Amino acid sequence: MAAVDTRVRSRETPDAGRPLLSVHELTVDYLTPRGPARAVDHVSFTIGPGEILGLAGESGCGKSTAAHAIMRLIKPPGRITTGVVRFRDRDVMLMSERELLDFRWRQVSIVFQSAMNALNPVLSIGAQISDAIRAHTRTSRRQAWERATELFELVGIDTGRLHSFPHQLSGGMRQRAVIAMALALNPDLIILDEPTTALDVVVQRDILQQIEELQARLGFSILFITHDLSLLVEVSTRIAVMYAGKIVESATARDLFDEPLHPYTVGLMESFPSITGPKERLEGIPGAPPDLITPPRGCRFHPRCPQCSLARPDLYQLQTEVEPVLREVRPGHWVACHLY
Amino acid sequence: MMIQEPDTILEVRGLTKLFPASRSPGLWGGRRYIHAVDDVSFALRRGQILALVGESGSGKSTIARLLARLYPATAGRALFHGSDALQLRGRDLLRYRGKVQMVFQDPFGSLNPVKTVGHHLERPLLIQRQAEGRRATRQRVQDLLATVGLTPPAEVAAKLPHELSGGQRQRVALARALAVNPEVILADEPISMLDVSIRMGILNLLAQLRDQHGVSYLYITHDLASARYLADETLVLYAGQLMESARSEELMAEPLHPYTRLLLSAVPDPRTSLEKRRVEARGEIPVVINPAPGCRFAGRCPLVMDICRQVTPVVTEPRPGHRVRCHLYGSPAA
Repeated sequence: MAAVDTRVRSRETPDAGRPLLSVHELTVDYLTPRGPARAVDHVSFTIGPGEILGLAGESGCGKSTAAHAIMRLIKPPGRITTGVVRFRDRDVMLMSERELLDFRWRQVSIVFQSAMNALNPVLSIGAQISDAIRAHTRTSRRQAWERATELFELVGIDTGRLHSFPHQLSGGMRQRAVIAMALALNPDLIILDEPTTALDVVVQRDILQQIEELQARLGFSILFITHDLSLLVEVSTRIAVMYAGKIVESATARDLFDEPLHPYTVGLMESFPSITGPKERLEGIPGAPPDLITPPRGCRFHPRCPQCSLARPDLYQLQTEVEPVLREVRPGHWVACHLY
Repeated sequence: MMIQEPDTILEVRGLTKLFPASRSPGLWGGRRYIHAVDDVSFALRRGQILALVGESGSGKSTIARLLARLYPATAGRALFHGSDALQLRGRDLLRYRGKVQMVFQDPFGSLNPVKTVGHHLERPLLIQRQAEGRRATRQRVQDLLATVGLTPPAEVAAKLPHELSGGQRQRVALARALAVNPEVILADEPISMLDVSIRMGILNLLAQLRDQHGVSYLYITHDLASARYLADETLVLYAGQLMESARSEELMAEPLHPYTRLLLSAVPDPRTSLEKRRVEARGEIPVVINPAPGCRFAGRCPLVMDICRQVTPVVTEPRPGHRVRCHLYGSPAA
């Protein structure tokens, strides 16, 4: 067993029932010459031990920015305007550099979008994993390499490939290597940002199975970020749907699938043709995501919403003037929509 | 042998493309070749949408580029109205290009960032000598924009690509392809770089253009679900070879080839997925260099037999209209 400190801290927080990660009213702005673009707008959610939270939304909805904010990776012109992020009850925004070093990678790690394409091309994979380990712990080179070997076994790559360079590995292998890197110090929470988007469907299925097995075995929580809602329904415990920087709906995977409430969620579900079942015409959602510097008044989705029309003038007035608030309209099922 | 259906406008036979790889080591190392496309045959009928489905490395994009004459084929023929499109030159090639247009995957990369939408649509008219004076051309541009749902057309025509969303740019690319009234559009992953919620709009537009203008499509994709939605017939490619081909519904409902079954089981489908489903999916498409005989899928096939490793299966037609390249279906020794 490698001598890297990978002792699994108790997966149960001292107060069982308290979440591992708690995000409250998180707001991130990007300062542009035309004014601030609010990429994340008072977003709140929690992740419990062993839970998989899916964060769904399309490009520009703020999901990646929210993930970066959790890891305190937002740099100017981005800025975290308000909000509290607590991990195991410690305020992440107040952590010192030393505390951050311990927080990052040991407690929360992240697989970035296209991480597999961002590997250092002139270092072997083994060297890069060792680097990550040694950056956050006091470990010798030999011990770090042993840990890397263990990790490769864990994710199912032939350990001889530790000496390979990224360009010598296939896309699927690189993604597994990047996941191995994220697992290196046995974190409690792993953030996966579009982990399978660039991969073919068969490799994607393989990687997902791998992630699920590892999660079942090691018990970490996952924040799974993707635009592919059909994938999230398969793997998540709960799903939160984001649009234009806000969470518009949140429920268990099953409930969201059985009864999507927000018209945007419904529209997203209608964007995935199926390979079985009756063939029906699907429409997707007309229009495009809004400008985050000057978003639409009232509900941000109203210009594209099939439920927004002058046929119902009272509702229309609400939809175009008042921002809807996230409310629990069924047990465990929250939605921000004037229809409810 | 393929029976030539009436109304076949493009018949591809034995299409093959080899790319040189590095020489084998040693003083007398022979040439090594990557077999990107190997002996692919199919027929496209008027008004038909044919999907070429495969993962990266399957050869599907290479086939489109060969048919668009973007690079030369190594072997094979592509009969278009009786002549082999792969051998055309000069004026005949120009005419062919006017009839067979291409739409690419990257909606930003395929448009010139410093030219207006109007310019993009006028160019093919000029090149194909279909422009008839300024006013008529301008009108044609606006008609095209209206056809693809970009309104108001006069405003859109004046815009630059960066002022449009991804979906809008892809509509411009479609309009450009339509400008010269082609018979065939080669659409190479036209929606995979677009946001999910706008993909269906583009697919519906493709179908509508087929219904209204009789355009045929070769729809290249890695996504089986969209192939089922849009295409009449689907071809499955693996490592450069055709593995199975049938009407889309039949292919999805009764896949014959083990690779097709693997592909289908790998697609996320929440309607069937909430119960767990294990799939033996290890392995990826090999890069095929100077291949030995045998089936290219043998290394990953759950139903592999001895013959699969020794003899390359040929394409047979175990059911009418349903072709497959697999020893499980009585493929005679090659």
